[in-house]
Amino acid sequence: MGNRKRWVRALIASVMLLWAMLVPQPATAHAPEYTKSGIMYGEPGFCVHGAVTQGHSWHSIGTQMSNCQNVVSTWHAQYQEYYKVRPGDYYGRYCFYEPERQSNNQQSFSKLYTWDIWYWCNDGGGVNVMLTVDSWQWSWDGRAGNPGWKGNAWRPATSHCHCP
Amino acid sequence: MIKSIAHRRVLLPILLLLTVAVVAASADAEPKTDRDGQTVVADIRSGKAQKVPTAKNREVTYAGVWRGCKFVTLKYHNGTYKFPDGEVVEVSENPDPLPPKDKLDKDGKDCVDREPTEAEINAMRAEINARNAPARPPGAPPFDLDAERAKERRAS
Repeated sequence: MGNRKRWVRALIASVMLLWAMLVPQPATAHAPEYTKSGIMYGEPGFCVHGAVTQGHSWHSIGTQMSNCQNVVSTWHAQYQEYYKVRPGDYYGRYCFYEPERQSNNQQSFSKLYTWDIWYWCNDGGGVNVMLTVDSWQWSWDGRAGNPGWKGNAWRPATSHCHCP
Repeated sequence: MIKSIAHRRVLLPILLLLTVAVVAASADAEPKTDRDGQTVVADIRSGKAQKVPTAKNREVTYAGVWRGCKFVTLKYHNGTYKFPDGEVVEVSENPDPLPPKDKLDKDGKDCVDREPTEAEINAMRAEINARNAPARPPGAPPFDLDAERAKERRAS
């Protein structure tokens, strides 16, 4: 009888241990992120899905093949332009341009920036600005007949307030 | 003897379940994709992610930064980090500091804050793209950003 009790206790302990190891724990709270993915308009054959995510002190970009009518195309490119928009302004002021980045035949690629865009947009402290990212994606269509880069954009991709 | 049997009965199921747990956990050890940016940054800074060597020709990326009345070329470093669960993340880090604004513009006149012209932007893009020189798909011509943007404007 005593052995059976031990057996049951051991079983319960093991199940609890197993539960703790395998069931994902609730995520910790994070500062809000600002994300946009997808495209505003796609040309026939366009098969790249892009994403930009922005938080304070970091942002990330990524592209991946999706919905591809053009199965031979695995190369895709993405580039970004960064702006600051002051309160009341409709247009953003130019901050910087980042060169195109290509997938080198990978199905997807992404890159995380471990710094705030403000670092290269700073035009003096003590101002509120929205930092926005415009993003474009292209995929290479190498099929005979109409080879070329196919793609489009969305803008602004993301924004976050840089507030002192 | 009895004690030994009792211990076996207690320990064996635990060991069995532990084995199952370890096997299940290792089967699930393929790279995760749900690690968000903030977590990655925190893990890199705390040393949880190990830096792996980056290809020599991919160590830096150059960007064109508008500095009031002219563009300056700044760079950041490309790093690659590997997490214990196998996820590999490419990061941009150590951006050059933003230099102070020049007193004079590229024509030697007083630097007055303004927006870049389309021609200035195009020239900067060409210079930056050439400097970073990405690889091309087989048979593809150089990526002509201006032509693509013109096509895009026509489409919209």
